[in-house]
Amino acid sequence: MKKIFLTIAIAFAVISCEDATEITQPSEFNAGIAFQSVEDVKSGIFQIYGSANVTTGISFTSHFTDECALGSSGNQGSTTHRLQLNPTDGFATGLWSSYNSVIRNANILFIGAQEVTPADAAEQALYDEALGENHALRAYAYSQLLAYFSQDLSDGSSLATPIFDNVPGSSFAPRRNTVDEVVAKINDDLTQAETLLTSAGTAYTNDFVSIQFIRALRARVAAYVGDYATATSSANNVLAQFSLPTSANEASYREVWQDVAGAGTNNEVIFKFNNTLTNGNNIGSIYNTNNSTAAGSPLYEVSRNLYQTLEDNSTSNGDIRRNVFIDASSTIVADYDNDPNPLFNDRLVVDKYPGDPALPGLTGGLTNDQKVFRTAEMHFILAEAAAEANQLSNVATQIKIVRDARYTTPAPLPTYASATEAWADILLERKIELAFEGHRYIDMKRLGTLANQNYDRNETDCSLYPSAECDLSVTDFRARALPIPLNEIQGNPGITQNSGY
Amino acid sequence: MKTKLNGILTLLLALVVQVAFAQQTVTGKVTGPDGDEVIGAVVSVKGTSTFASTDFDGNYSIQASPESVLVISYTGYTTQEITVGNQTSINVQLKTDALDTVVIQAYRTTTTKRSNVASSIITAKQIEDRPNASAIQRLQGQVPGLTVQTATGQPGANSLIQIRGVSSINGNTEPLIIIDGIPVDEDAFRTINPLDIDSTTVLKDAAGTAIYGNRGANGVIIIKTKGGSFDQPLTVSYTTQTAFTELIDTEYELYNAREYLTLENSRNTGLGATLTAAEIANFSVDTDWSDTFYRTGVSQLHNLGFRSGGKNLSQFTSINYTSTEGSLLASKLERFTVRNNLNIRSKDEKFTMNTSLQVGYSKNLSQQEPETRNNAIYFNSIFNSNNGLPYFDPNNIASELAAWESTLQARYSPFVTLDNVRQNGNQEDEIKIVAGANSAYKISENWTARYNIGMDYTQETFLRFASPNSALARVRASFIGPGEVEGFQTESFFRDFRFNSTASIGYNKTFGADENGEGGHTILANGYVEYVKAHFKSFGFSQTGLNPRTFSPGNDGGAFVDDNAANDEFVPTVNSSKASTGLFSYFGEFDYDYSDKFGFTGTIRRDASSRFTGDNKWGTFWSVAGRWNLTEEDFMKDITWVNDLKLRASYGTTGNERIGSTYYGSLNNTRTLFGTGNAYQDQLTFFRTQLGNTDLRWETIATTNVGVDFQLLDRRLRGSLDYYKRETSDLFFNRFVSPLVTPSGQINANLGDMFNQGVELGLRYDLLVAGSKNEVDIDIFANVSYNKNEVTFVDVPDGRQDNGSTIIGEGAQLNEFFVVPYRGVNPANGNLLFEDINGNLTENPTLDDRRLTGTDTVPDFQGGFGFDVQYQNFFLEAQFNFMTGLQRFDNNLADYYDISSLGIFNLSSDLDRAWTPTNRVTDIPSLTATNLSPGVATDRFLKDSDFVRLRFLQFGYNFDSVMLDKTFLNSARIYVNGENLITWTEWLGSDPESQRISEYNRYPTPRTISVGLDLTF
Repeated sequence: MKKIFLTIAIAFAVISCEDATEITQPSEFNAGIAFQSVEDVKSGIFQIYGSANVTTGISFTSHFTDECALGSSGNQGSTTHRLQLNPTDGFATGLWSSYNSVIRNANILFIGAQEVTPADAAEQALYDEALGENHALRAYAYSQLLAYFSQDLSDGSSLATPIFDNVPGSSFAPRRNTVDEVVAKINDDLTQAETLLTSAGTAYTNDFVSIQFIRALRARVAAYVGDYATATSSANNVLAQFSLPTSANEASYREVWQDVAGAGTNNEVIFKFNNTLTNGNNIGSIYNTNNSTAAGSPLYEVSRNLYQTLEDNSTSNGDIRRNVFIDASSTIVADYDNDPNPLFNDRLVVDKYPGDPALPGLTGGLTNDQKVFRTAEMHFILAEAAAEANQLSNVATQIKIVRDARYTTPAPLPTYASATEAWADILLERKIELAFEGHRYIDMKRLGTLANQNYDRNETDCSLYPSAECDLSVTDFRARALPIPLNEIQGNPGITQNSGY
Repeated sequence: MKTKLNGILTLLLALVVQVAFAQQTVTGKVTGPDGDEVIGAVVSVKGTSTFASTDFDGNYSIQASPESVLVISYTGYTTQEITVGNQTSINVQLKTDALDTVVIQAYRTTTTKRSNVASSIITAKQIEDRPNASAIQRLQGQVPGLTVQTATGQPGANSLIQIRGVSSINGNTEPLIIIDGIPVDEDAFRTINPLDIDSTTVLKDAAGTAIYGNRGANGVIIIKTKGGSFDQPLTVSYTTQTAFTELIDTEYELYNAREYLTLENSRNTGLGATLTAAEIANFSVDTDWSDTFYRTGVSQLHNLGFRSGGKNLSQFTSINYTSTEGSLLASKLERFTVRNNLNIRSKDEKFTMNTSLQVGYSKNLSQQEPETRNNAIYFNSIFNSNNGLPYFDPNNIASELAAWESTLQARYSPFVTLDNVRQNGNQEDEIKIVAGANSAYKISENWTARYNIGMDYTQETFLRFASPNSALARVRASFIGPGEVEGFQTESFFRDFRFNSTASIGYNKTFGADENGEGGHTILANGYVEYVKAHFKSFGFSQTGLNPRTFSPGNDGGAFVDDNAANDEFVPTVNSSKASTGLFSYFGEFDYDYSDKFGFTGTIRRDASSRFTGDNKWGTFWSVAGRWNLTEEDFMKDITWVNDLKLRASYGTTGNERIGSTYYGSLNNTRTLFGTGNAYQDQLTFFRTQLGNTDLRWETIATTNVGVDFQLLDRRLRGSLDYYKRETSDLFFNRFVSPLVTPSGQINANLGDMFNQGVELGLRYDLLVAGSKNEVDIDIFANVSYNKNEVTFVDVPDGRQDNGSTIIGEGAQLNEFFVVPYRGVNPANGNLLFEDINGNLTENPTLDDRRLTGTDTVPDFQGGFGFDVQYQNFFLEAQFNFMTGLQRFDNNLADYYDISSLGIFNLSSDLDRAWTPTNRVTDIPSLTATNLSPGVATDRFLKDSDFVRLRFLQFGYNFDSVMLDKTFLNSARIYVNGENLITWTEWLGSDPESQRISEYNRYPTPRTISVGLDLTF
């Protein structure tokens, strides 16, 4: 008996120790085995696309700006919709975290890719393509951080977002780089991306990074910071490949938003993030709970003022966007301001994301691709460049190109008495054409003062949520930049908060 | 031959007659050393098969002749033999086997006098008749320093158990629970039979817990189940109970139907806007939706116990069936358990072994939503019970559901949810096996080898389904397409196997004792090696799309709609996972006693955890403890009112390795890892999932404890008083890092210090001691504990982690509330007024106006008190619980004050007092106030959750043993119990005793009334 116990005791002391204390969990996968071939590098890029496919900016813009009003199932609205924007704001936190994750993941991919050497020309092309896409997507992430968080896009020395090329460890506490530095970083990435994609011979597709993606992004970033020479040349490069239709075609334009392949999409969409049933975002659920109909429990609806603009345009010029952007099932109360229950009775359903008819089911009805670069935006960039140069007739020309593509009854060439008027018309047309695509906040931030415009919510829209604030001035600190989120402040003593927060 | 036979017969007859003649009834009472009656002691006539056992008052009645010798035996006590003689009443006071009461400690037992630890013991008698299905919930209010907070009324559900406050932020805070030497999952008590439990010992200070090292940081609860005694005839006990469970009403003053319609009418919205004043006055429907969603739950319990023992083998066997209906519809627990405990010893008694085996099967029906989706209006029936419109009639469910399907308006949600409750379900079937063996071999006079082995095996099958016939499924199907069906069924399975093995060798010697074997020096030393390994496995699937014609919950049977070309909705999702964890430890203890006067214990333990790496893998924990039994000293001999007085002091450290609280959580946080999956365009890809932190190490808790145990005034006043301070260092806490480092902006790390400090007092006083049955006997008891928690260091900027409405900050309590004070209604405009950080009133508070409240959700003072009364054969027991110093957000009240819900959900009639230009001085803001949602956390709905609750009341009757003489019964009693009968609190909801920061549409703990019958034969 004694022997048995002693044997057991010794056995446990000697043999079992490691078995109980050195445990590797099933499926553990470390960096050493993650990057082994060019195929690994190419497969890693899909995750970068996935992490860059962020719709938080679209949500934030719809909640915060004047393009949306509270929907009948939106309860009291988000704090963001009530204009209570502070460092705990979920959208600010999400934007900061997700776009910085793109940069971090891109850096991990770059470093991992250094472990791999392509064996032949075919592998080299695949390798270059992956790295080119990685550069371009990282540049896109920087461009979004630049747009939302930089204190002042027009001042190259004002603070933007930290630049990092490493895989940060837990003590990483970077300072914010300036607007100029971030723009230089973006352009550097875009230059490298263009070189790599060119050498790889990557063909154009609208849902992967291409040379056109790079040019469109370069044009947009240049316009953000007022470098209209670069913006104009890049936009013209894009427009050499894409043209808006010269007359309005409602069916064709609707197909763009339904993601039906065809002439509409080919002409209008330069790049979109592809959303599938299982990967990506249910972009439609930003606006509606079940589907984009009046009975689909709308959360955020078309704002009354934007509706009125579309309705007026439709009446005067047959603006096809009235019927494409607003669902036919909408219940419109004529005397909106005096309705006893406007939240429930007046339903202006956002239909810009009507669901992809090729995708089945409830999820399919909420799934559409995220349009990132469109042909119309390039015309707006040219119009901005013209306004900046005080060439007001050129502004009118570009605006008319966009309107001709939307009006069944074309309007005459607009005339502007001043640059301010021209800026205001650019801003108005951007508000309509680019509504629900995540532009309005950035546009008001950079063009609002030039156009002498403030946010304009309908009084009744404002009565739907329990807060006193209604029309935000474009000079308000909340309209100038998003707050650096609280978790960055807490984790990084080197960071500087934007003014006002 | 015939004559001879006759002669023998005559002789036999004569003998029988003579014996019968001499038989007399002997009655008496068996008591323990403390004077308490001993229940179930066996009184037998030596050399015969005649026996009786004592009833609930310790009384027995037996037939015996004057020359008979009565043998009185009971586990743990010295067997006594008494010759009957001419006595008809024999009262026996039993003495314990050893010097006095057995005290269960970590891996051994000792005596009260020689115990150096702060511990509390709950005996079966104190908790076994309670109707609560959870063995742990019965402990609430019984032990100083033990907090049991139950957050749901679901029968048998998990409770939050804490000893001496919250000692960790991210890590596990619940104590280690050991049943018969086997560590078990602290969250899985629903398949444990409470009636099997003999005693529960709570070890609180480092002297008691340090030897558990890695797992003892939050205290240890040791549960010992019942056993048989050697040389004991078979006794059978039977218990049955029937219980009725119901919702405790709330105090929110909700509108009735007519009042609500009037309000709608005045605000020109909803149904009320379409009715005239006369129509409203005649409106006949008035629904309290809680009457629809709740019920009186009926519960049944049957328990059979068998005890017996031979010379070298004794056993205890129990069979239990329990069916407990919750007060909420579709909540029910059914349980069947069998237990068999064996005590085995060799003929020379050198080898002993105790085995225990419990096999249990339980079936748990629940509504999962109240626990997980508290504002999912179409799913959470408690939301709808609380908020449903009073002018809807539940009987009109068919037509109202049709109205909902065409409009999808939220106000129909009570009907949708009721339909869900009727057609959908959640069911967990659990098999639990707790089995183990503790064996010992006495190698020599002084040396003993021991080996303990045990396992805790839990297997669960989970089924969740939504019928395709439910309204919600029909609507969802219509979104898929015309003619489609929906509904889903999810089934999953998990298996959790935890194995434990401890081998030890011990030395024990007394020298210098006097001729009676008393006094002298006793030393004891034990060395242990422990190995723990656990494996988890799960898998499951979820199918959307069920054919209503063949659908049956938990079955495919062709009802699963296949994937088709047009549609991916019906592709089932599948999952599978497994995990392992382990611990390896060696440890030792040394104990010294001098003549019962002084004692000293030291323990040291080294643990290795698979969760840490390199130099951080091993942790060393130790403790020292000492005592002084003052009453053993000569100078105390003359102080007769002090019967026992012992001073104790201890200091020691224990460790916590459970970084993320759960048993299988955070197993490889030291390593940087990648994961694979599908991403953009459904392509296969991989990505970094975790940034490793190799600095992770043991969280350490150092506890200082000073205590005194006393028995005074002829032992009528008994109690203990303890002071403790528990200091946690290297707290598991999220280090804030830049979100550039990792998306959450947090990584698990050890960074922070905190302490809990408190005083505990437990008292019991025999107010009236009955000399005979016709006098009243009253015991009163009370326990109170005070705990103060303070975070002393957190490694974040400004020493403060801001969580919105609470903070974790230096100098504050853990998760102390951090809010802007609400100061009432502005008489000028009806807006809310708050106090800014400078003490001025403001209508627009900012984040900077928040401040600490000094309160959290953990009680400062808590405890219990009550009394036991016995008179003749009647008994009455009452136990009260209380907690003070806790606050919580009442988000239900916030909902009831939210005027934007008018026309959708019910509201509080307090809104009738709302500010208007003609009613300017009021406590309810204007219904159109512009700052109803000020965007920062305020204390407007932060309410005191202090309470005193009549936790348990029992009244019963013991049948006299003389009355039972003619029956097959040895003892019998009947009783009525009430649980949570009355609660005194300012909290408006039905349940003030949960630990949640905010209360919002959760399943409250119920009120239960039960009747029971206990028999032994």
